[in-house]
Amino acid sequence: MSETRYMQGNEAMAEGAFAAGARFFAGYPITPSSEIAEIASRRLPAIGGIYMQMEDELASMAAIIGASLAGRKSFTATSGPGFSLMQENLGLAKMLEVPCVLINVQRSGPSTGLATRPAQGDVMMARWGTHGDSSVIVLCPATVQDCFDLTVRAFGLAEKFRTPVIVLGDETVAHLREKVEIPDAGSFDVYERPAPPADGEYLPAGGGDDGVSPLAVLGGRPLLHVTSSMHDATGRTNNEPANAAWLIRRLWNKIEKHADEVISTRTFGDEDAALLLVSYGGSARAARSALDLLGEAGCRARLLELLTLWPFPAQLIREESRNRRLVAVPEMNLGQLVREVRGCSESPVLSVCKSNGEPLEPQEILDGIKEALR
Amino acid sequence: MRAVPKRRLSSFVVEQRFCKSCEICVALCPKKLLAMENKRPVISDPGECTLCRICEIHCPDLAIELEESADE
Amino acid sequence: MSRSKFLDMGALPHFWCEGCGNGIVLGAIVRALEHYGADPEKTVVVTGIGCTGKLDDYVACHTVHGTHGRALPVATGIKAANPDLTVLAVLGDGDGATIGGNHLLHSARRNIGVTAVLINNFNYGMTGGQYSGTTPQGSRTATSVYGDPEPAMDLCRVAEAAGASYVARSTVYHGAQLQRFIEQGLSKDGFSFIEAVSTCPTYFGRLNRMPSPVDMLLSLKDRAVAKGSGEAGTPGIEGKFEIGVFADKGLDGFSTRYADVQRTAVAWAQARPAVARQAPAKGPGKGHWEIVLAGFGGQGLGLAGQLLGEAAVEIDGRYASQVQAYGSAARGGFAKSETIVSSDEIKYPGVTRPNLVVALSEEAYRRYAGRVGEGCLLIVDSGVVADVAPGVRGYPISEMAERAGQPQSANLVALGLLAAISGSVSPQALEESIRKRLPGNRGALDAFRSGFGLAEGPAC
Repeated sequence: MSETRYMQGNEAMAEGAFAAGARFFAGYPITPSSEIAEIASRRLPAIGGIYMQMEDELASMAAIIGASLAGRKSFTATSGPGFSLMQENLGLAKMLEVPCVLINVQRSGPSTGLATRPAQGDVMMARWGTHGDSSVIVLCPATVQDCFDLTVRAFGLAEKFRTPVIVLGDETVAHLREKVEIPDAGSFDVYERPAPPADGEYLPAGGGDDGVSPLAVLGGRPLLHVTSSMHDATGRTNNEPANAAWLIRRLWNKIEKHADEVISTRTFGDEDAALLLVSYGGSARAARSALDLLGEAGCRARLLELLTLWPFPAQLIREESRNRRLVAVPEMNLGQLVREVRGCSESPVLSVCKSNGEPLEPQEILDGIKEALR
Repeated sequence: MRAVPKRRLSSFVVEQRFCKSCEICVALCPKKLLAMENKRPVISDPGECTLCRICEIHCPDLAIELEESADE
Repeated sequence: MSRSKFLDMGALPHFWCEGCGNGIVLGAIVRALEHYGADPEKTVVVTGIGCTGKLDDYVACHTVHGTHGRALPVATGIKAANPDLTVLAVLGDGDGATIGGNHLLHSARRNIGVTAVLINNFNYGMTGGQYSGTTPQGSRTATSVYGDPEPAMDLCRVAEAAGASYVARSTVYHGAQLQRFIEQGLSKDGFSFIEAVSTCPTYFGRLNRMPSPVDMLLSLKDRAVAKGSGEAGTPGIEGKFEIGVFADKGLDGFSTRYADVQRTAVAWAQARPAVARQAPAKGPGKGHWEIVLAGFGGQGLGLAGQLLGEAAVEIDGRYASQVQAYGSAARGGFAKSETIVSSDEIKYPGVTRPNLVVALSEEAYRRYAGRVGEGCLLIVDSGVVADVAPGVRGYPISEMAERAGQPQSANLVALGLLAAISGSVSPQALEESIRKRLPGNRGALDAFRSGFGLAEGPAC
């Protein structure tokens, strides 16, 4: 059973977090994500949760790590400039293997840029913004329903893989109002954190070559030791090269080697269409309409909508790109995801870019493709 | 008036592996009972020790442990 | 008995240099925790980076070793999430006061119930002895061979000014006092800040003519004076500084105050009438409508669009979508609200082929005047534009709002008008939507109805 609502994307992300059991938010207001903080400040204390407005985004990311280690599902929300400040502690969350969710509602940059206007310029940053080798899970909503569903999913993946998960929205979807079905509490699964055995040997950073260990909770048994320094399975500092090779590789593999459990996509249009569009987020909505315009212009097309940006679904795109006349990648940046598509596409790739703070429109996708096909 | 049993030092132990020979204990002992021997502090007259525990509290290596007992 | 169950004997000997004050502070901390009666399973020690940051290796309770300068916000998250935990943040002068300075201010200000022990040895030891925010002016360090040009900060005064409930300073020469202050700090509800003036013989000491651990420790003895002696300044290597308890205000900690917030939030939620939501029923509205409401910021165009969408989706069982655009001014600049109402799922939520535009300002009229005839009906408030082009319909929208005694509700008059003209959403659904979002606002319903009624009359 569910309730039919007309809701804004930001609100749907917040509600998705609460539905998944999040009971701690720490953040700093920033356009265009401030609605999430405001909603969290009102809703959380009424349901036994805690809202903290930290002094900056460095503290926000640090606080949600602390809260998660103390046993509360936690999240934060920000946009580009704040996302930049969060990188170091995002890396901390990766190294300590702390489940948490970071919502980044992309806006036009670089730097302060156009605070109220959309872009999709943080795609690569979401993957590579933290220093060193690491992996990350990045989910990308294209509809307000996705805002709810993917945020719920993000919390489950965070717990399952003991990792921060980024929900990478953009201003168009975040400020969009549309229909969403909110499932009744208890009617859907939420992945809960497994507990380690209270006695016996506990290896907080164990997990073989590509797995994770259950995370002990601060305040319980066994005692938890986590460190940002290179460490071995016991969680204590270890400087041996062989150990470093193992840990760096395990943190990478635990996500990359399980990409099929994380990747999620949606398709529209005929499988054997000559034209393939690969898109995500706000651009994907324009691409959906562009399929109709292309059809009217006599060009059948298929749309592959990515709900997971990272790990990047290279194998899927390799398969989808076979025997196409063209693979077009519309996005609101100067060409970020297209670089990954070029790396695995078996057909020629066209980048359809827009980076001026305005949403990408269906006609612009049509025009870009027509220009290339001339 | 009941006599108060006198507390006395029953053992002065220096964990050899921890001590880094900084000599702070030697300098701080109010009764100058400690001296370095082979880079480790030794106590000259345990009977004079007042159990102030200044050496124990200020050993940066947590190497010193005092035990006390009461006279019968 | 000096050792405590909080000391991880198996981890010793520690890696700090001979005579390093950190070891003395470690001893004070583990004895304070023991004497205070803390439970290792309910105790968390949070550290950052640096020589002090390595203290987590030697304690037998929960430990979190985080990033440089961020031990306090990590500790904040832990304590806020579970106020029953004893949370200790151990900081160096870099970690706690320089890179971490902002977090010290705000931890003190919000009085998060964390006990912060800041070991001030006047330099960044781990990285080779560079100067920090507490290095005395004129000192030689790895990055100030000519003498540090920057003065030092008095952290206890900073912590007190920022609002910390308990503020104290001791030194590694005064180990028993240091232990006592830490214990007192642990017992407070609010933020406790204990500065432990310490020694770094290897770097700071050696570069400032105190290379021997004993000399460096003994130098603290004469320069540390009891609070109130009046002749003291910021801790340094010349001149005196005060030790003692500078503040003990018994202030409530963040968690105590937030429990009040939670009680209030629960009370408000219980007092609010439950919103009766029924499943949407297929209403009579039809057609695919791409509607633009345009005017200037502050007219409530977004609200009108939201009411339209809510009525369409939540009551009439249709699809709707809404996007908005504003100029940077909160009031006055051009603004528009675009709503699509349809029987089919909406692919692209932006209006590309508007079939109905309502212009409530002259600029809005000018921007859309050229769209008439592209299957687009342009309606304008005759009160703002007198001479309309052929094909454009003028209605006295703001005049109706004034007459209804609701001059600020031109947006709701416009909503009624466009609902009647488009037939996209039923008036009953819209009235219910208005009642839900603006409960008890009779004037809002009046404005809506007057707008709805305008459509039946002649256009201007």
